[in-house]
Amino acid sequence: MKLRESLLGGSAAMPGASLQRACRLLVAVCALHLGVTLVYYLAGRDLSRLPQLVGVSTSLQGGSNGAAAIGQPSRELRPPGAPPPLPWGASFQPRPGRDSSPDADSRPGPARNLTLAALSPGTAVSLPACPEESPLLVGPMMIEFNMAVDLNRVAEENPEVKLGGRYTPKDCISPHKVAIIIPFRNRQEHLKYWLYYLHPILQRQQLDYGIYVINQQSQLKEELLSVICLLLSTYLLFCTLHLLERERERSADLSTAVTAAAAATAAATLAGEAMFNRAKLLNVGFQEALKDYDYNCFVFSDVDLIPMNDHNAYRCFSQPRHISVAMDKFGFSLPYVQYFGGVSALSKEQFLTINGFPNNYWGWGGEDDDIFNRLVFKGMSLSRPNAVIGKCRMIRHSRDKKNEPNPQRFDRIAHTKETMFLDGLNTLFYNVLDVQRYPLYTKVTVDIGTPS
Amino acid sequence: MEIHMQEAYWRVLLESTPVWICTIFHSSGYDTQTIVKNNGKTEYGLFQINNKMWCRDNQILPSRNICGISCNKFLDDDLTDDVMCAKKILDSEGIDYWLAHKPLCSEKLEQWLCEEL
Repeated sequence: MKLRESLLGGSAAMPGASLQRACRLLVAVCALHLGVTLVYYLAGRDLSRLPQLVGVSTSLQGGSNGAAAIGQPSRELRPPGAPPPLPWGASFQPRPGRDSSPDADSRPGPARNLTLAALSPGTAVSLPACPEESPLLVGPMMIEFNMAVDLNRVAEENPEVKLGGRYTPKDCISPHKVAIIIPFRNRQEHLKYWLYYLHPILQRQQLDYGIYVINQQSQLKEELLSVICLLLSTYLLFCTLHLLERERERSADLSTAVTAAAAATAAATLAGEAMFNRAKLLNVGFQEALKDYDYNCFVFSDVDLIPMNDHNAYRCFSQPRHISVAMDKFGFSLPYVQYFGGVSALSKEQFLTINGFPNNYWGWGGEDDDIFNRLVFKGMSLSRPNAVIGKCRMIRHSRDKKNEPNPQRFDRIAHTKETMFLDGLNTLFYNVLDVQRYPLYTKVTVDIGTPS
Repeated sequence: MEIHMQEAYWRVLLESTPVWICTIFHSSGYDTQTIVKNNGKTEYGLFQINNKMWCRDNQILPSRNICGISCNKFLDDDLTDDVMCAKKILDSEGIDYWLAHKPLCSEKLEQWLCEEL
């Protein structure tokens, strides 16, 4: 009662004009927001951020791998819908209840597999194998980050790249079927530079590749954002009523309550965000990419690292490959010989041999050292380009929030040997919240949980 | 980055330089301004010395402050005080106070040798 009186008194004593103006502005902003939200929702879009490009939530069409299939007699045709066989008895992540995105029918399940079913019989042309070293390479390149990047233009400049960031060489058959996995959270600007520089390089290297951006998002955050939207809409409603001079008494009280609820929800959303977990996102990328295509090689790249020489091959070798060996951040040399961070490449077999990557490294640091340890314990060693070819630029940035140095990292890497088969691909659980096929990349938004 | 330090103190600490260069790299990445909070403690500077036992700041009161110094003094480029406190830590806790040492600086130490000038 007291509150209501003071509020009433307040609104009567306040210059009515400014309250009116504030309400009008809020109505206009909310109406715009709701309008945009509605449009995107109907188009099947992710509500939590406005995407850069028009994305399409469909499965990839089978056309792009037509030529590649003919020349490889050993590749078996998989019936549509059958998941690729995984040794290890690895859990193909049980999906408790919710496995599709909040946006309805964003991804028909079985049809995600690219098969040859769509191939028309007339395209039986046999292509030569691509040469060992591509004749298209240019060598050292200028890499800068001081210009704006428009992904629409990048898509136009790379017309051979198909929806979802897929490319297959047209004139030869590449043995390198590479899924490039990029762990991601809130780095859209960096991703634009990555796509701008890497697509031309990867095509010159004559790789059969696809780009997978694995976006860490908490499911709770996704839901809370929807709740905030709802609350703001309610607030909008009361503001409108206030302007219409109806329900003035009630609307003041209720709008206060709703504002408080919205603020609390926003705080909870931000608080609920977990520490970044690079290695687990890479595990997810491995599994999700294999649902699309029979990749035999996986390049794991941080979003802010760009190679300076296209002789630095983004594909797999007989031993696990370390690609970012000479980063500008480390004076164009290796910070230490056991360093395996930045950009690396493992064949499917190499990855499976080490039970994939650890899932328990939350925050910055250590997971790359753990992976190095896994390889060593399985008798493997690192393959590297020389420091001239291996030069890389890193996009400078301030420290990310929720990615502080992990205080447990040193203790964990001291115990890799004991934990590597208890923590990895065989204990990987996650929820895919959304899959978006953009022209230049596939974005998989995933809830990977929190530190246990 | 210019580092000013007194040679005597540096020599005292350097039984084996490569171990220390390695440990420092993995602790602070050679950045004298490194501050990291974890487990209720805050660690400062090149050697990542913490405010619970070794230096005082306004977050943990009272600190044991064994080195008798304000933690902020470990964030500048004058390493004399850092090295002195690190020596005290080494004497009382041993090198494994620095958690990076065992997993990353127990072997392959040749790579941390300074080049002959």
